[in-house]
Amino acid sequence: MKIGLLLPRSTFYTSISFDIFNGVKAKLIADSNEQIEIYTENIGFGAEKQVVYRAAEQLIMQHDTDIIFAYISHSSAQLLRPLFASTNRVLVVLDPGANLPQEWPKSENIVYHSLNNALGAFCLGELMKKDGIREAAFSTGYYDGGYLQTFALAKGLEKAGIQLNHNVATGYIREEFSMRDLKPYLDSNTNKALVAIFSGDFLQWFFQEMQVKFPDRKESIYLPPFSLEETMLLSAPYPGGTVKGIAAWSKNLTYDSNLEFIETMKQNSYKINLFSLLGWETGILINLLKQIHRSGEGKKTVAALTSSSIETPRGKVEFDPETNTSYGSLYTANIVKNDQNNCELLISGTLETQPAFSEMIKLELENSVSGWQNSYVCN
Amino acid sequence: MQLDKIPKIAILCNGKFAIPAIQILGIEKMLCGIGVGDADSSFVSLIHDECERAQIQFNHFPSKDKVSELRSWLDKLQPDYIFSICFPFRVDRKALEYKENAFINFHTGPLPEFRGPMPIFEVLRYGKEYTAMTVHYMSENFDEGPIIFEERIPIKSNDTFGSLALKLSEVCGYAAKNMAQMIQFGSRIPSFPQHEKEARYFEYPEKEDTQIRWNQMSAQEIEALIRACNPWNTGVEAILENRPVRLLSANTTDLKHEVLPGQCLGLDEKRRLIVSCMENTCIAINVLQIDKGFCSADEFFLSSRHISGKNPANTLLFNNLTR
Repeated sequence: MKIGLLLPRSTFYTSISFDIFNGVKAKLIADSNEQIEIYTENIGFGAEKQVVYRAAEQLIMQHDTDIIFAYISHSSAQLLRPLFASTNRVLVVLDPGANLPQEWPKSENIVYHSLNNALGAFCLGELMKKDGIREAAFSTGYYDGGYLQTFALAKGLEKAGIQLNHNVATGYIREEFSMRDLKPYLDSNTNKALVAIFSGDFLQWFFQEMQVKFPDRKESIYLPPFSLEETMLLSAPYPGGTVKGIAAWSKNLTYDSNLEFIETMKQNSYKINLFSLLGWETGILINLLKQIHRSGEGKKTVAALTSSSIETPRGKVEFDPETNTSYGSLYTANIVKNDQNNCELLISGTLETQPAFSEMIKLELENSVSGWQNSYVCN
Repeated sequence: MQLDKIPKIAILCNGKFAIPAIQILGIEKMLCGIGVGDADSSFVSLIHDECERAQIQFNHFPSKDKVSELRSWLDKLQPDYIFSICFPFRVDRKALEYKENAFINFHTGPLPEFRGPMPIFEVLRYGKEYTAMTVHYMSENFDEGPIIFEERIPIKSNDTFGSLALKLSEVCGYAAKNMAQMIQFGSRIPSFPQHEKEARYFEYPEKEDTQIRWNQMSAQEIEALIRACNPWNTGVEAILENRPVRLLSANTTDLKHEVLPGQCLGLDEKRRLIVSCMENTCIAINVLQIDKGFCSADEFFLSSRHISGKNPANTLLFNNLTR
């Protein structure tokens, strides 16, 4: 079986391709699957259609790969749809799940393996409702807010009866990044909370701002999975007060699969983060595909794969038959201060996400559009 | 074709089904010409006016004879590819030789199982679970060229010809865009030949294909036929007490009977007219068209009682039509 990998670049996560690839490699070696041939192609930021198309075509036509894993957006997957249908190969889209597609297209040759970021954002409302929150302010920035996880978040709050009555969109360079516009809101309301979506440097800046501008803040901060990536949190200053949210994964999950992942990555001195996790899960999928795939029968492979489930470091992951998209458990979590006065993630509970996923895919986007074509945050 | 060059595409079409594809290729600046077949005059003038406004070449092919001029139009227009979307006429060899593999057809059903001009009717009539938008190279014979890709669409239990045509029209829009992008970005377009052993060609349905034969059809087959005929044929034709009626909406039921097929058994609790069918099955009719116009089964049943003075249950009979 020949496997292709379409790997992206990101200016914020310069090691994204390496991390994904190392995760795949580590899992294949751990499972004694070294004989599987892997071909890789770079797709830049994943925003240029011709680059993505040519790279996929190259993997199919030149290297005759059966299955291609690609860290690409839904719109890029749409572009590749006829190529995979025509050649009856399998495309597994590795998807952070931060965007919502304009429609959930089901293609018989495509599977979406998702980290369910938008789903986590959608579930945030229920978590806040349980805490008695009635209204909230929302803050995000140019890059993170460009994905439709923002829409999922707003809809989740609406469903939970929480009023979102103040929005702060901030600039995207450090000098223009400010939370001062939150002040009037935080000074004048009760029973309130702050919801935010920031990742990478922006999360650090956000926490710095909260630390400096609102040192006595009473309001809880709620964050979706996009903002609760552990490696990123380790470099972010602890902002004080209550900070909680929904995470897609943590190093501290006690599943056997997670322990194996952490241990193997440590032994190989590879980074342990969401991208290497996605690579590791790619290795798990390859292991399963090795058993079910017959060359030239991509449609049958996709049907078999989507009726299976896999045990991953973030728990059991299943596939929704309507959209060929995977969903796994999500985790409620709190952020606490570590020894370096930075942030650490503590898992407090597990969320079963199937009902919320079914609800989320039925959301009408109400003309909300995301123009982000890139695979991951870049500038 | 030079890589990355935006392809120039001409569309041959015959009605509003092609509008999503026209819009999408127009937005992508890929459209260089539109040829319309024997469509109704309002569609012809709509496309004519839009072409004029967008400075896209327009041509009208109202008859088979006029299609002989297609080649000279293409020679002038010089499209890279020609997308045929429900174009009603056979494209002759002279036109096909304009350029090798330049004609691509967007067929509204699975191939090779449903060749012919009305696959939407056929897949519904045969109770298929899915249909497809099949994109394939055109050859001299209808629907026979190698397949490039197909987009499958599940058929829901309440789908009619009209609802399925709308879905296929939308799918045709993005299939056209996908196809154009394959042309633009791909170094070659993969395709595979059709399996001739599985091929079936269905002619345009004749009158008898759209009539109910009570002594041959189960409730399930009748419901499928009604959905396949709605709305293009204004439902299916039946003869009730020697008068033609049309059945526009009906559902199968769990009821069983032990009488001859075609007998009206009365109204059920949902006020639908229950009629016996083959294999002891019953169909529940919701809407009919009779001489005076459209009416609900309930209204029809009560008016029958009024006219004849008798209880129509178990007395009204549909006539059997034989092939």
